[in-house]
Amino acid sequence: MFRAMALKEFREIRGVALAAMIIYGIITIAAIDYRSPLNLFLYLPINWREGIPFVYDSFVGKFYFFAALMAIILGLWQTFGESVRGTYPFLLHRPASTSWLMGMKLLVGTVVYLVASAIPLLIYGIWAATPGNHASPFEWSMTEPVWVSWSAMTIVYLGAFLTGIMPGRWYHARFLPLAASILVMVGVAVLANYVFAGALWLCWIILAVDIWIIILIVFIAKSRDYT
Amino acid sequence: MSDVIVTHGLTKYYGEYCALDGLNLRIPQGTVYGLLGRNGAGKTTAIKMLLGISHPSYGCAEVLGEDAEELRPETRARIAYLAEGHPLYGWMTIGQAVKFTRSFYDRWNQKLLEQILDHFQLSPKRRIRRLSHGQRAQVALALAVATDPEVLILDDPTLGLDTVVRRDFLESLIQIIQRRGRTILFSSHILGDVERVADRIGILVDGVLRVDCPTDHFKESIRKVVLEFEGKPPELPFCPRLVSSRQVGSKLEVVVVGLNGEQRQLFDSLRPRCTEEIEFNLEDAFIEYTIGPRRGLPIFSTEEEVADV
Repeated sequence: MFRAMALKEFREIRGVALAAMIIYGIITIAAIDYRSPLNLFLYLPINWREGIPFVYDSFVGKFYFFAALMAIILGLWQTFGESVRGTYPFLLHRPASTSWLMGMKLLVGTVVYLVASAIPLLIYGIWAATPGNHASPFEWSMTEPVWVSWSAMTIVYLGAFLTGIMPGRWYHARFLPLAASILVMVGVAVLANYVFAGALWLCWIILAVDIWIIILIVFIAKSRDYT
Repeated sequence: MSDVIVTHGLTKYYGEYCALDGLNLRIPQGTVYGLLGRNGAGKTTAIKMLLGISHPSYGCAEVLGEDAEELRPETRARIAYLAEGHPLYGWMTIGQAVKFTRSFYDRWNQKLLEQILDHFQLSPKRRIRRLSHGQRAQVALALAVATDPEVLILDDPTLGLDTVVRRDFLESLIQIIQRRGRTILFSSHILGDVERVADRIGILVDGVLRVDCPTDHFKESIRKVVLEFEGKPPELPFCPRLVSSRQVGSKLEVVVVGLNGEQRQLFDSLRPRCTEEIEFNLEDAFIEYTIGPRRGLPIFSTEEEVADV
């Protein structure tokens, strides 16, 4: 049951993950090799080529943008996909609790987001940590704000999921969780960059917000009507 | 015989609109119950509330002795549900859909599933999105039945199927029904289907259950009486259990429930030139009954009782 549900969810979002990986690949290559023609494609300012990885570079800003976009699309895809196809009644009538079914969706979505988004960060980090690749100092602790922001995107993913599962109209109540989650994520990311090294404690706040949103998702999933 | 499905004053509001109004229903084990009603009568709403997919504004429902809103997975495994339109994952092949569904059930009749798929000539390799509407219905039925359910709840299972596929689908359903006295609740627009399969029917009119009786009893109870006069027909005085009346030339056509001596006496008092009583099939009876004055319709509850409202 676990395997079947996990595979079903993965199969449904693997296209989103693949598209995200391609985009991450492009921005990572562009950041590593400033002579790459991809930089022209991405309109990167010339002076960034001499930047400091994870501090002042052409990678981090774009990574934040595309990671947030991936998180939003994943959350909406997993919820609206079921709505549009009308498969909620089929899924929810399986002999498993609504909490379990939604939990599986969230687990697969979160893992796919975290893994897909961690790969470019790791590749870029390893490149930056390898001596001779760039003329600037590097310590792994310099990557902490980015990792915190990477984990803060789970808030955006959960916010998008909550928006997708919430009954209501687009232009007010329904859009609110997504808008609020983006604000929280931006706040956490700004704080992480302000604190810089030693910002990992912010992950506890992210975890607390994630748990709170998951509780809301389960409550709404159980109490809403699937008409 | 115990009741498998019970509802107590089940009511659903969508904003101000009342989709289902105080549904009281008891479906004993082994019954094939046809839930009828025009579009928007509340059939799907009622079914979704029976499965906990939608939540009542008031009242409650029990299926297999459990509160429908809190069905345990073990209980849910004993209930098969075919949702309206047979939603399945289009990207899956039939084989993948079987594998996915099977993983949730301890009890699974693979042999029966294969028989049904074989009967409908459906290869497990075929992708669901490439199936016709009828074939998708057949796959949904096979998946539902393979769980060896005690209760089958089917929401308009033959909607959109052509006559041949519908007939085949129903034949299969009948065969399934004959296995170990399953309880089946199904909604439908197609009265011929209901007539062939259901022992008992319920008719929802504007969210209110107006009829809940054996199928034959309903058919036999609705009668059209055609009174022919020399000239213009007189006004019909108050008639108990009247469904509708209309003038057609020199004729007065009156549709009543449970035609009896009191009503015949009333009709005779109008001194018609001749009187003809017409029996209906289920479809005609349903149409006559549901196009009548909605809220004032007589309610059928049991074989013996017919009440005026």
